[in-house]
Amino acid sequence: MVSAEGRRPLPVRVVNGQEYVALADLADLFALTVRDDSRSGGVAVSRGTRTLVLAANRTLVSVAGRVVSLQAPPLQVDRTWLVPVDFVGRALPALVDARVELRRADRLVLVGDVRVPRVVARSEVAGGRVRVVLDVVPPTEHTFESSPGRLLLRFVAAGVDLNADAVPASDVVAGVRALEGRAAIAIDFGPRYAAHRTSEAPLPPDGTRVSIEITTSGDLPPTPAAPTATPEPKALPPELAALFAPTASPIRTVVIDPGHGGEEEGARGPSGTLEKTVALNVARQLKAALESRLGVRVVLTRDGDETVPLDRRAAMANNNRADLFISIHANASVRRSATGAEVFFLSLDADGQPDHDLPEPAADMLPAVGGERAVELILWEMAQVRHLEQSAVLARMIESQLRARVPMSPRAVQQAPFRVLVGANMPAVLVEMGFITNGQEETRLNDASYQQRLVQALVESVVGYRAYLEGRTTEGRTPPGPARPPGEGRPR
Amino acid sequence: MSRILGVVLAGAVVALLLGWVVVRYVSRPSAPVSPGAQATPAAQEPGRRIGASLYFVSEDGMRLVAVEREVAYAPTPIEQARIILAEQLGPAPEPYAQAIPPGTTLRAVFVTDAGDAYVDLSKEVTTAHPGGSLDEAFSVYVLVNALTVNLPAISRVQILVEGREVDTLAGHIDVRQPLRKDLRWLEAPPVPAPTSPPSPAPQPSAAPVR
Repeated sequence: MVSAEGRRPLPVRVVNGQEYVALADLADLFALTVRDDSRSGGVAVSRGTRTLVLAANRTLVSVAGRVVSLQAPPLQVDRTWLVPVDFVGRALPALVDARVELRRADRLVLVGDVRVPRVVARSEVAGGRVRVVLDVVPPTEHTFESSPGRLLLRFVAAGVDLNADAVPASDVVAGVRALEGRAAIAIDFGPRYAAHRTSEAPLPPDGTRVSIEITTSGDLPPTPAAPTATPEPKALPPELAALFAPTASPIRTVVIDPGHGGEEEGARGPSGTLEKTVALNVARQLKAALESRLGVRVVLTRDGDETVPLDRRAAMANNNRADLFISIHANASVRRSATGAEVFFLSLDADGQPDHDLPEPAADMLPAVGGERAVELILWEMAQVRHLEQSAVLARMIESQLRARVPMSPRAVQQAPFRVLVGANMPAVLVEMGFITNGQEETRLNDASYQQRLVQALVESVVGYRAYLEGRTTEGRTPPGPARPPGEGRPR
Repeated sequence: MSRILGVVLAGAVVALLLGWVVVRYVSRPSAPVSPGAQATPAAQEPGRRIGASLYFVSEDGMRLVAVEREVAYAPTPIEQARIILAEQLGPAPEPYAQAIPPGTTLRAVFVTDAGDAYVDLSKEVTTAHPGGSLDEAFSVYVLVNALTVNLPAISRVQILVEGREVDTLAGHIDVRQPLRKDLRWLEAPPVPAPTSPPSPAPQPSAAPVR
């Protein structure tokens, strides 16, 4: 367990294949009061004014007004109460009013505002050079410090979790290790080290890749490296730099999200057409068309029949700094007669908030399966709210372009709390190309010329949206509509 | 005379206290009511019925319609919620269609003091779901609306599947958090008006100026 006060061990017991921790140990560490609750035959755990009741054989726990489900029910063994390990990440945060993050794979519990990035290191040999690659998740502020024979990577964090199994010791890199008690990684160079330089790149979906390129010298005597070898950010070659230089276009990257995939087939037509297949077909054509017509970079969230979690789809858009996110789907209805295309964007409830309330800070960890996933989710959940006005503009444009080419549903533009849109940090829409459950529409969705019409409508929409953004920039025009200052997320 | 009055008063105080204890115990948020265990038949007044709005898919499949129905009265929000949900999961009246996948059963209902209801459904609500954004929204909002419209004690609803929180029922609608009532799904689709982008910009349906 890592907190601002340092590291402390938390014993884990395995019962029936489940990992448990003793409630008494948690009570010591978190200053909890534990007493028997005669009414439920269980145990009441409290801190300050907050109380939760645990009962044997019950996986649901009510805490601070929320119900949390645990992987296994609590157990009483030899008069000692044991709670499943996920209790720590899911129920405890609401009780102790602090961030408590459970990192199961790393066997860590992070308490309070501590950051412990995970770093996986490996080394590669290419063209007489050795490259040490460090994948850092989540991206964490860091600095380099060079000294003879060593490069130190210091993180602004409480500690660092390093796995350097894939860096064999050599005469170029003697070793990569975490410094005890410090958030730093030391890369010790061997006798054949000559010089190095470092570079960084985003690592989708939520990390940074730090590369250390080491030139070797077989001729030089094994003297300490020149102290002048301070690392500098790797400069891009001019031809690449030109590619990445900011251009006048407000739309440089578009992420297209073919709905479902892999095990998630989505809806199915009466003749057996699968939504996931049609969505991918259209998405691929749309990518090609956008790239050739607009010269923009297009990223597909999947380019095959793969299962991609909804989180990762929005994460890909965010990490690629996409300017637009378009999710492609086919609709379904219990009524076979339902037909027509629809465009959705995220909905707000009557208070102008996302339809569901965001958890309070104390409950940040509750709704997600794993601890650290929730932290990012919460931040991203605020993301789409800032772009709603623009998402609405884009949705209307797509509707108008679709209407000129394909039949529309009577509910052509709608709002709903879409899981895939909520975390997208850019204007984002979800296009339902038609009802695959209608036989005629299923045939149309399989038809190449119909697919072309859909692609054309979406390309024209992006062209129109780009022109709209350009016009807005040059004329200083702001779109009419609800006054919501840009960047205003949720007041916290 | 004053002694008799004293005894009567003391009796009344004891009765009030007992009543308070009973009410507190029954409304404990952590107490689940499973559909099998019909709680406290004595507390239910036999024959008393109340009107409730239930929600089904319209004939054209494009919206939800509210259907008024008489349901048994229950004295606590949890029991009343269970009764309303049982009706909501039952067959749709002609000519409407059921928005919840066939075979879905109610496992349990929880209501917290904060007004959040947790509706625990069997796995069929996801495994038998035909998919599609619109029908998934309908599945979610018939449950959300049936509880929030009929029960003042419930302001938000979260759907659980087999006792667990889920991301979505079929890949679209975010059900990781309790959702509020949304009656827009009942509105008749608007008559399409020709739009000339980019203006007028559409109004996100609820973004107040603050």
